[in-house]
Amino acid sequence: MRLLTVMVAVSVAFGQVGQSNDPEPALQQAIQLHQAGDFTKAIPLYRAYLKVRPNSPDALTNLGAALAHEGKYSEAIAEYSKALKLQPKSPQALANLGIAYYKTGQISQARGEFRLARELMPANQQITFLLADCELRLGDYKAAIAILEPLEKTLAEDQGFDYLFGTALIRDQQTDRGLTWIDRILRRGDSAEARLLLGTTKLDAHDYGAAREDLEKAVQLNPKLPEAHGYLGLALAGIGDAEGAAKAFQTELTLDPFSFVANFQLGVMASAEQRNADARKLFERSLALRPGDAGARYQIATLDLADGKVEKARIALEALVKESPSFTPAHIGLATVYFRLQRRQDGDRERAIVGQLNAEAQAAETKKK
Amino acid sequence: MILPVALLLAQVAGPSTAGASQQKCGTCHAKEAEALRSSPMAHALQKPADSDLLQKNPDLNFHAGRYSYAIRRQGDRFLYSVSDGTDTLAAPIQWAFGKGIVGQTYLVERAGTWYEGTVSLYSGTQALDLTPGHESLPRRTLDEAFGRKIDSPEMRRCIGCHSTDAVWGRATAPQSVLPGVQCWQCHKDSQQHAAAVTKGDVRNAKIAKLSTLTTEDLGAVCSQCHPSWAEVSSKGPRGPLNVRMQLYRLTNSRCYDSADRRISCTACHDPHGNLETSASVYDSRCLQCHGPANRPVTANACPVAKQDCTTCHMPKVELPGMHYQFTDHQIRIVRPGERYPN
Repeated sequence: MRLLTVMVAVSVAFGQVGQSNDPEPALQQAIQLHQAGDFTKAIPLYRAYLKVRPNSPDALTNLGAALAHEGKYSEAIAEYSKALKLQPKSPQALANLGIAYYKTGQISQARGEFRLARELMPANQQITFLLADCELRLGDYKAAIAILEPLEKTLAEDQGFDYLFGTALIRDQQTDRGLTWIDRILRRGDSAEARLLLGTTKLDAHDYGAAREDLEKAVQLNPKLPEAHGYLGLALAGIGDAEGAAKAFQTELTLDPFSFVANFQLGVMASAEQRNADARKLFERSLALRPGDAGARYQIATLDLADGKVEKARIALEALVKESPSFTPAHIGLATVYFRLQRRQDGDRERAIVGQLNAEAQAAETKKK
Repeated sequence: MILPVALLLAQVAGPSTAGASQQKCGTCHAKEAEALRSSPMAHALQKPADSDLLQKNPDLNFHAGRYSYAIRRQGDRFLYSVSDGTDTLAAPIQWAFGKGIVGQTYLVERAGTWYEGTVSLYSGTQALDLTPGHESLPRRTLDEAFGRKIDSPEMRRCIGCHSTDAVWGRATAPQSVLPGVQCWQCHKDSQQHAAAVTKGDVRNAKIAKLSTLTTEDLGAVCSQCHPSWAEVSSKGPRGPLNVRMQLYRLTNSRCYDSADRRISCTACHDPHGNLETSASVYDSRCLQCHGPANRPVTANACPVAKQDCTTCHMPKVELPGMHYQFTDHQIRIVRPGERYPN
């Protein structure tokens, strides 16, 4: 996927930008090795330099970049953080720290760093794309649109932009607008990305059979396309093929352990089969990927209720209905909690709310038909 | 009891230990174990040879469109078949779901795939008819007409309730199944309890006493298999189809009180025994609250009748195609011409 290439490029670019002109031979040698791609040998030289000059933000940033190239993201995060303590407005360190968070699935933290980096480098397209991608992954589609919309005219021929912007519009239910971007992508020929977008559009319309066709084509064209297997799983679940859906979610998790859709849906499946311990792990991971996500918090509350932690469930569900008064499942859970706590009046009140919300939903469905 | 979505099962890999296990519990709990032996829950899943309903009906036929269905006894087994006049698909029935109070739905395996039979056997008519939920399924090919394919997650859900100790590995078929609901399906720690009692280990012999649970907590135990208010409120069904979700209906009753055990499932039904179908049997339960001696302020006495309370306050509802009248557990004053509530 294009975005992945962008991230790697950004990482190298900032590694280079962050180089110091320190004359000491160890640092120079480290930079040379770094540029030659020999990160393994560069790392100890950076460390040697930092032993003598521990307060060099550039050397810390470069060390972080080398560690990131070696896949040692936790160590990289530590070095970038040290650099940022010394130089809080270093765009390179901020961007690289964002990438390290992104690579380790800490999308919320990545978003924070990219936001700061973008303030310092508003014209940097790579940072903009990464920030928009974070917003998409965190489910804040409107924020992604707000970031990308100003670039609509200047980047209209950029395939990566088309894909990101089209995805944001479709996920935000702006289907008609989103379809024009799918058309743009399709004009360049059939592609996995276009099929994924078409599939998700049909999923939103609850046309699961048609969505499955597009999503199967997407994974045929690019079996490693991020999110494609996850959305294929949703389509399969929609047509009642639970087994196929579970396989698709597992494949997605193998490709991307930080997929919110796959973690969350496998959690729902585990919960339905009363494998509560498995379900809890998956929902907790989902919540780590999308902090504050109402669905994941609700699922954890229902597991708490099933495990007899009624008071904990009450606190979580009361917070949820306060934030989202029309979130029917949370009212249902809360009614059950109140009855378990012998608070009949409160339980009856929640049940009345559920009855009203269900009647409204039914009326809306009838009107739609 | 026939479930709307079909049910099924694979073969048992090892010998059934149901009898032996009940016997073990029965050493101390003789009355309960004996009652459970003949209860509908203990027979929620049966091998065809153990099904009284099938034994009484060894040659059954049914027509749906251009397809002819048959269930016939052949020696020890029952063969399920469908024909379009030219070709025939047939396979032996592996499992019967339900004791047969309402009817039975059958699970058949053909060419490595499990199917819920398109037709079920109904006790009310002693005849085959479409399985609930199959009315709207396409039957464009003989394979589609044969039955509905069941995948392993659905299988797990079905056998999770209709059997005990279904152990699942990575394969889609259960490795061992204990047909029907046995003691430890509800009494979760009973195996540990039995082992501790055998050893004289008093400390570990402790077991949760379900009879001390509040109405709501007991409902949570029953709702492992009988859909709860929460489940039906979120997933449906809406309208008369939910008459079969007794727990949901009961908790919608005005007199439902989560703290009052007189309105719990077990206040009226003996979980170890048979289902009482005579209305008069339940009068004493109603009078626990509505009788003169125990009546709280809100529980009025009936101005119309003094017996057979459930015949008016828990009306019967017949679902199309099920040939059985289900009791609506939403206890209420039924007004003439009122719509089915909730």
